[in-house]
Amino acid sequence: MADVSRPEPAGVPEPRRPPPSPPSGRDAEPDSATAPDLIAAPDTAAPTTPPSPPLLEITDLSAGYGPVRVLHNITLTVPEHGITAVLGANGAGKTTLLRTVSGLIRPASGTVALAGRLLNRRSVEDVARLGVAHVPEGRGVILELTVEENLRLGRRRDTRDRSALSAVYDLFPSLAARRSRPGSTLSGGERQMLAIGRALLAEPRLLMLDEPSLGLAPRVVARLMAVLADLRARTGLTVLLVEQNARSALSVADRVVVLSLGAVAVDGDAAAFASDDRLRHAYLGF
Amino acid sequence: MTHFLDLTLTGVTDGAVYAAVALALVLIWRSTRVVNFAQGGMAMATTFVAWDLVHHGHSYWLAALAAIGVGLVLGAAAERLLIRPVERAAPLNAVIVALGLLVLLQAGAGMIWGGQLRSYPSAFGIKGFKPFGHQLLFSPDDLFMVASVAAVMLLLVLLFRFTPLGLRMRAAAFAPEVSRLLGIRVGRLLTLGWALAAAVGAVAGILIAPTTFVGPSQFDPILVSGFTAAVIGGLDSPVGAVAGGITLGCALSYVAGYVSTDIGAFAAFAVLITVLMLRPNGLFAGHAERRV
Repeated sequence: MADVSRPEPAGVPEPRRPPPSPPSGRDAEPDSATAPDLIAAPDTAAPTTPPSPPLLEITDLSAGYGPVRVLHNITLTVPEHGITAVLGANGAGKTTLLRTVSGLIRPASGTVALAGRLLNRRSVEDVARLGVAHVPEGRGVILELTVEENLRLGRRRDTRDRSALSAVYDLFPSLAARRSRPGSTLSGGERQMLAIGRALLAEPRLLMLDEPSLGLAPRVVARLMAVLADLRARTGLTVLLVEQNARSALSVADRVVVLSLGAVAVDGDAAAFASDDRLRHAYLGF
Repeated sequence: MTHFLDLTLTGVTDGAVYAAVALALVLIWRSTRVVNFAQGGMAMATTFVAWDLVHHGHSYWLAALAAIGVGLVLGAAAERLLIRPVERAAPLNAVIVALGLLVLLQAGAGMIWGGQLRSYPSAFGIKGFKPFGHQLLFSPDDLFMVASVAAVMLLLVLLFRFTPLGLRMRAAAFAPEVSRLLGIRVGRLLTLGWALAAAVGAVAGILIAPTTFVGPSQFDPILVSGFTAAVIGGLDSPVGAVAGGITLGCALSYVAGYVSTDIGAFAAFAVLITVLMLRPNGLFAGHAERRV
């Protein structure tokens, strides 16, 4: 708790950007797919990128476990096509944020919307079917099933068509050699690749990764991040990347959100954040 | 030698019945991690429905189909209405709910069909085969029993191993949360698991009814044997359930034939304890420990 390198949000130098909360239009029912300009308006830190409508829009969200409130009035947006990194220390609420988006946790108040459709009251299954692929912390590979069975579960329809599976095997060749081995025999890196590959098979609109680097060797982490960057460039994938490993995440992220004690402390352009020594040092300690 | 053969055949036949009950228990254990103590009562209820139809002059096969159909509905209803509300509570709650359902079914059957035992017809002849002049303790009906249970097991294995639905059912059983994140409707699959289990139980009920007769609490001893068989097989595997059933059936048959018919229950526990000491996870446990 008493992490000297990461002071309380109140006592830190003022973040470069104001919290992304334009005074107008924000409290209305998030039906912003039709009015994208409203949201992208105050963006000054990323001048070159054209304003794309936010895919995920989280408004005034509070959530937690029973009486314990973890997230306090979070407001943030995830633009389509690009990697948004969510950074922060242990207990900052990163995992809770993802679990609330995917419906595993019911928010106490506030809204979550995907391309203008409210997710709050939908079941976990429905959120997944609307295009949110959540790779949970600890990878979520079903250890008792084989690699191929895990992948087949990712597809919306389990057909005999193997082209999609082949694409994943091309992306992660080491999985191809182990396709009929149980998930429990895979290494940590392979499990992460399998979980990501399985999530991609659903052709998600939003891929949410919870600490993919956890417990992996730096070399493996670098490869994973390279794959993410490559996917973003080739397919325009939208990724919400939760990481403790801030350096790795910043190496591929377009935008960065820093959570501190359940609130948004920083929300802005990743490159600008990474080059701002004062901010980076205050929140990430390097 | 003929004696041994007879004992083995009797053991396999009895074991097939234990196996059928064990299959039903395994189906439910796999999906909801509940030992369904109402399984005997559910099989009793479906068998009473079949008995009613036979009693009113309908054919054996129509009655059997009706029992299976009623079983599907009964199992689905039990999961949806009784087990679902206590799903997130402590495991003991589900066990107590299942016991409550058992009492409910037994009382209800007593009210509808009365407390006395009813005889139930067998599908085929019960006169033993007589190859080469040797009279065997194995009748066409016994063969039907063994074949039915083998067919049920085979269908379940095919379902789980080779169909997309079976893959989803396995995923939902192993990792419900991850499955839901993949868009798999886990709740429906649990209902389906209970429905299938009750249908398998209905098959078991029809198969044993000719020997045990039908009565409100007539299948309770079979549940104990079925549970023993399921535990021997590892509680998780359909093949294990059948192997456990046959093992138990043969062991009891040998004890009855070579030692004494009075120590059957003792022998059942001896088999159970021996297996659990040698293979704590059962004969067919696929994976020793689950990592969380």
